[in-house]
Amino acid sequence: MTPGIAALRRWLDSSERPERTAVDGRAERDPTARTDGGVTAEPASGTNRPSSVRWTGRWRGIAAVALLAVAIGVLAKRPSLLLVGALAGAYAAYPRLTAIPDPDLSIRREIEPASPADGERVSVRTTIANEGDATLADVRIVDGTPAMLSVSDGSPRCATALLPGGEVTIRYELRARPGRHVFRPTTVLCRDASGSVEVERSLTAASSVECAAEVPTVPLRAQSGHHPGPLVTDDGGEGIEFHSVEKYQRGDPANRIDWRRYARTGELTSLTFRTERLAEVVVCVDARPVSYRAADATEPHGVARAVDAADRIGDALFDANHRVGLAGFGRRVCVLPAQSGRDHASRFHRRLATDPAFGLEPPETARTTEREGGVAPSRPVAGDGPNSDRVARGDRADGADEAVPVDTQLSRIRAEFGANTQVVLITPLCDDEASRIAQRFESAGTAVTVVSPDVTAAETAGGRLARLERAHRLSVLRNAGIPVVDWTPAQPLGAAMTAIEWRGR
Amino acid sequence: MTASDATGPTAPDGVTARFVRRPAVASGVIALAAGSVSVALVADTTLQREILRLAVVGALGFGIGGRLVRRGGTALGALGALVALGGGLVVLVAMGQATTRPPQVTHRIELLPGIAGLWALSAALAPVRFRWCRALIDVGTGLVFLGVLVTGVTQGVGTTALLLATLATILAWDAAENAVSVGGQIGVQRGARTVRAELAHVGVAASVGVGAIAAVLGVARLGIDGLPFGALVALIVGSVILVLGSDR
Repeated sequence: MTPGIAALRRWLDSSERPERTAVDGRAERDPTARTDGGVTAEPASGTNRPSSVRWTGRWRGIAAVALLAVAIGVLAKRPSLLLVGALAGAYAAYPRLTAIPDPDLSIRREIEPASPADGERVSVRTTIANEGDATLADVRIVDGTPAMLSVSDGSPRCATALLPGGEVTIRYELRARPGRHVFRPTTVLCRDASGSVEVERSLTAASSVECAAEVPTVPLRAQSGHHPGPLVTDDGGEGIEFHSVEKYQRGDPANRIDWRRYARTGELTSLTFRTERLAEVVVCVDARPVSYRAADATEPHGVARAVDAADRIGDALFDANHRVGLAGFGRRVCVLPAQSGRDHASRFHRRLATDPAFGLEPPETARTTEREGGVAPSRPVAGDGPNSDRVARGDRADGADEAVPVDTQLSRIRAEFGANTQVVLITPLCDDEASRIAQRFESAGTAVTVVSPDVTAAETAGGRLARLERAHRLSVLRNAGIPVVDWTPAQPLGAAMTAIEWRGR
Repeated sequence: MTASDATGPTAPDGVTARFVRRPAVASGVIALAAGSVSVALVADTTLQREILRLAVVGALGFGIGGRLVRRGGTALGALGALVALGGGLVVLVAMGQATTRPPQVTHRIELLPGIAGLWALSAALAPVRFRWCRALIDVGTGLVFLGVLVTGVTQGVGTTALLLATLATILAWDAAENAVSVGGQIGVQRGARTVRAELAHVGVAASVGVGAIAAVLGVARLGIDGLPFGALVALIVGSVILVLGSDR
């Protein structure tokens, strides 16, 4: 039988095939070199990520069908049913007739405009081209939209067939939000024509959307060190802003004596001003798995918004010459002690962008719980097919994940605090633990300001319950004397912070 | 501002394109068409064809109505529910006719599983529920194939028609499963283009099947009637075992 022989040959051939796909011979042909169109190009490390090969096993059942037809044909003595069995057997050999795709793809992305205003629509055109000399029968592309931006028109997903040299362009629109948004790697799934094997690649075209929206001021607590600086405190002393009138005491400087009052009443008083001190602020991001929640599959999750807020709060604090540190806890812990200066500012932003503690990819557990809870994960790509067993999984070794309890992580962060450090804790307040952490900082003598992005939704009963619980946590924190910035998605961060600023005074 | 009062709708301007997980349309239509062709090939009397036409119209209505219900919107949803209900009733009527009207019992049992299978297939692709898609597809195409097997036993049609019906059944399963796979990974929201990949998939599968049929018929022409029946069985069982030995 020809299918049988073909199957045998394929089976013998296949023993050396996996090595060919495991070696990812793409180093010399860097796809990001072709990036253009107002887009920053850099030799990204993402291209060296090993691709994974998955067998979907979708044709596995057909052999049983073939055997059933043959069996019935034998029992009923019907030669035509034997032929039916042979046809089904040919399909059992079909997965062997197609080679494992070895895609050689290039990507380029055009963004118009690259620096939009807040709320403006940004049109994105991502073009994927087949640079290899084999036809790719089934290419499924999921463009890596920035974590913070939602798609307002079109779809960043597409499936197509690509001839050698052929290309496909995905067009969609994003709604700009304040901040700098970097595109994530584009995921490409290539299936062979029979659909029995699926090769996953990620392509990186390092492009970004920049939407300027600076935070005017950050509400800081009136606690400070002894270095003069821009933070206006409630202590009387040297300064500009009037604080109080005090009875003259020996040693008060003569230029602070209120001479008019002395002329009027003959009583010596001296004016005091609010002292201006330097604040030492640690921006602390809650990146525990529970914080990776989103109001909707198309909305950014809590950690993405927290990292964005940390970025801009850091900018505002550095502009005001404060000493700024960075901390993150959750799956990993990250501590950057407070310092000032331009070098430190760039270190701050680099840490925030690259440290695994602030990883924007939701953890597996959060994904599955989200799926159970009815909210689709932000990028449901992998895991198709009835029994998709992973052969080459290219995960980096995530050591020490979730093994360290949060309390230990927090004490490591607190070890870096000075006596006058205050904390801006950015957390979506998804559970009681978050508010407990804020209260623990506060009770240990560190002044805390909580900035809380709102990721609750009001569509479902569960969402409304979560919103109610969060409102309760907010009021618990406020009752404990901790200022809380409630940052709703419809509101710019600056406005939310200004609202609390003049309430706090 | 307090927590609850100032939180308006989360999407400030208009709708955002949601990710919609649903079997892809083009492959779904192809699958239903292939399934109908398969049943039509094995049910070849005029009365059977007449009943089948009724059943196909019903199954199509059921599928389109289900799609409309899934699309949302109260008016469209209500219309879709009506259409799906009507389609379901039409399929039930066709099944009733298939059990009573054909004079021969063999004609009845050739047609009945096919109609039920088409209904299950349209329910899978509507979809009734995305998680049930694959199971419903297996059940539906399995029932259609049962009809083919029964016809093979009763020798209702010739060998070529039987092989073509098998091919159509396999293509229906392949296209339907691919529709679920594409729909699960890419989705069917506006702007997500998938037609090219789906057509390429179906085209390659069909050409493989046509080639296999040509080979099988060529072997049959060589005069397998002269061969001992046992030798033929041994050949086919051997090739199937070879295929089973592979891991894909």
